Amino acid sequence: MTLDTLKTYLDPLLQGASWTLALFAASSLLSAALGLLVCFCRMSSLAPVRAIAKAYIDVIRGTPLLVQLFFLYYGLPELGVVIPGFAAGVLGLVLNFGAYLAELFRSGIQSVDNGQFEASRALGMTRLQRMRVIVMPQALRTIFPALANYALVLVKDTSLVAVISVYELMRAGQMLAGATFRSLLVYSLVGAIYFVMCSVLSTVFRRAEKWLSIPGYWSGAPDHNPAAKI
Amino acid sequence: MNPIISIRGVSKWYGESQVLDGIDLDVLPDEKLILCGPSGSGKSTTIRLVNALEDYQKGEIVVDGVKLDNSPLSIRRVRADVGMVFQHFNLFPHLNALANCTVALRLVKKMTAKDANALAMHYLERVKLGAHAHKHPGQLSGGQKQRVAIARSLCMKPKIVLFDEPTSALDPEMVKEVLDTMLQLASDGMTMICVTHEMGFAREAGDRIVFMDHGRIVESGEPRRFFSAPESARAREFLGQILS
Repeated sequence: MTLDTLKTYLDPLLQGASWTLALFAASSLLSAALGLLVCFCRMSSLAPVRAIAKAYIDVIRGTPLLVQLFFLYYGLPELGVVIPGFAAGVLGLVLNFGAYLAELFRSGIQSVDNGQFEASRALGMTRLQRMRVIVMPQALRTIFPALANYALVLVKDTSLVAVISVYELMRAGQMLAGATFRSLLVYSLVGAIYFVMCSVLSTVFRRAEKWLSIPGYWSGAPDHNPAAKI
Repeated sequence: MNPIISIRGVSKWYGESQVLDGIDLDVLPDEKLILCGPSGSGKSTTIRLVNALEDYQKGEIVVDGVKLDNSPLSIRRVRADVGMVFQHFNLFPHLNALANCTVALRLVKKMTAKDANALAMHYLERVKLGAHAHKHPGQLSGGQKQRVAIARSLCMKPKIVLFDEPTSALDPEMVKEVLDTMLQLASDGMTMICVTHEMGFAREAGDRIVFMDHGRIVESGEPRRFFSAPESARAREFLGQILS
């Protein structure tokens, strides 16, 4: 196989990959925002607000993403709600990851020592200031490795929206394989492109984790390795 | 002289269990009050009431003319006047020593970065940590952390500073540096309430010692006399335990 033939296969796939990146960008940002909102609802002092957040989390986590996507794209039109493919894909991913991120954020916030809340209260900070400046910066550092996991899962789960005819990397692969009958080659290339995207993303997260590390705290230095203490 | 803190008939319950039972306590301006007693006696709860870290069900607390009635306004006004130093320091681990001191100056007092830094450096130097201003809490020893915590509370220019067992979590060799800082603060005329079992400090700095047990004030008096001749059997028993 010559480089030229490889290029004829890669071009449509890379075009699909650019849509995968768009899906990832939109749904990662929106699901983080939704997750934060649901997390605060889940920890609200108002029981009905908590109940709604819990119900939402339970429904989303209790059903497959594939079913949720089918529901949004094929189910809702029966009720007169028609959502275009890309929007339905983003909505499905956001609703799904928002629920998981809400619980992740909650675990991070609850891991912050109670003394931090007390010290910032004693200094006269408002609730919002305590959250923004004292609690969240610590919570986010704690959950950062898990956050990287979810980001990588999200990159790969964008491939599921191919089933609701959204054009992205997986869909581009299916179309190309269908037209050329060279499934082995095409899906190898598709897999390789996902792998490259994930590798770049995990490098970014590793760098960011290092950058966010606090001097004197666990930062990857061997003498601070908590695992060594077990 | 009018008391700066007035606690009148205060009782507090956690669900069914009563933790404070009719506490009456006045603290005068510039007074150094020592609170002691066995674990679970309510001494920490009592000082935590003074800056509204705990609420109470019965009685009345007035701090510097502000009645604490659980309203956000009263809590805010009281916290502006009352600093607090905790047993476990509670420094913000993601901020360096300087930023630990300036964060509330910036957010609560709305000071500019320049003014806040200058003020924070002034207090960090007073606790002899000017050279460590850019270190994070994880890079400081226990004694240094507690001195940063003291500087952090002083930055807010409080009229009263509460100390909740400030040396209990420290290694023995670091207790002195923290107590020296507290003695210096006492000699500067700060109103202080200290929950502590450091008897040397209580003798030297304390104007009055209050002994609590089971949510009640059992006895109070001048520290020297309390340590040499406690009136109540409960206090004698307690002193026997901590001195042995």
